[in-house]
Amino acid sequence: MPVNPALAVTIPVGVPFYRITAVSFHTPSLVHHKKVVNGMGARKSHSGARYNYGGVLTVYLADSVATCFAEKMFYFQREIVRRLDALHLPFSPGVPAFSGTFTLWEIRLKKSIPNICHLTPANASIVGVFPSLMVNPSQDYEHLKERRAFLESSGYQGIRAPSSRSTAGGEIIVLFDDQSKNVDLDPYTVELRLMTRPPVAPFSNHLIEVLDFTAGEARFACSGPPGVTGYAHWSRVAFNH
Amino acid sequence: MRSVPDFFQDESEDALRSQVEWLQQHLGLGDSFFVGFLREDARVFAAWRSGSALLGVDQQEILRAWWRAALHLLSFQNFDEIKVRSLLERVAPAHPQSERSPFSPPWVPSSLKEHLQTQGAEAIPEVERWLESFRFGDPYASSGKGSPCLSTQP
Repeated sequence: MPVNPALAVTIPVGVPFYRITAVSFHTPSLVHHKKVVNGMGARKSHSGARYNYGGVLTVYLADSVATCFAEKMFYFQREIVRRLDALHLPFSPGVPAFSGTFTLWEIRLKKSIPNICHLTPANASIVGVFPSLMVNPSQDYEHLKERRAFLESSGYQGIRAPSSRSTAGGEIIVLFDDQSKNVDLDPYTVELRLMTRPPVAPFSNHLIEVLDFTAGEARFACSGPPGVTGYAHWSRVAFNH
Repeated sequence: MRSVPDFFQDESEDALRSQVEWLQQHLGLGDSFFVGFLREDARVFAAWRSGSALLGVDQQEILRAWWRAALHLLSFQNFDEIKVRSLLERVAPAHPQSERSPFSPPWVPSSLKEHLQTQGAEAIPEVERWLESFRFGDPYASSGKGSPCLSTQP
């Protein structure tokens, strides 16, 4: 199946997109920053990800800071809950920290990327994507990995799709090629923390407190990207669970 | 703003020496660890660290792979070096309960540090998969210990 013009959009030059990584990517020298978008995290992953099989180069971006925080908060919370689940083992990595520091990257393309398959619940069936699996936040599906392989083999250079964890209609951008030579990017230090159910407070004691499984909080440690409002102080980050 | 030194992401041989030095100073991984891990002669390794000898390309690649895994361990413990040291040095006891859990570490019944020393480069993918079991995919769908069925965002 060739690229369908009705589904194809272009990711434009200069528009900011976002991604959150470990702080270990945040070096003083700008030359190393581009590794954030080289897709090697997915390439070296045994397991694959939402829109890629293991070992397949892929770059994931979010369309806004809010979407980026929602996506990251889902994984941040899930890892902590799994670590709590492992505490009963004779060996466990210990009680996890319920807050963390990360680097949020504002990423702008130098050259536009055409032939991005823009999937929505209304049009996904045109390329055989089941809309329900595309928007379900609870897990990843083999179906989406297979459809990505199909779309890439059809000539698309990426996917723009709903963020299954965003509660505000945010989208993720899934690029099939290394973008390290095609971006300008700036780092911002951000902090995330888990919260309790109402009365809302920072989650601090897994023995007696009940976690809010639908939201956490985030803030910029210093300033945020120009034009981005919010998150100067701890701010609620709701996400689909 | 929180950042790390340039050598954290540099892939040159000089950066590799800095990475080894950082692991020695911050995580307590001495020459004896690296000599065992690389199956290298102690004098050759010490000479390489001081810049007066060569280390094979394959061994350099093994060190780079271990550095990437160490960064993942650091991230896993929120860059708390004391917690990472503990994770490296604490012995994981053999226990029937561990056999059934996807979160049981592949280094049972030794420590991660000892496992890396004895197994060498072959241990790195196991450690990476253990970390991934907490972060990605659905480890509960695993059919058995040590090889969780994974998916999700790297």
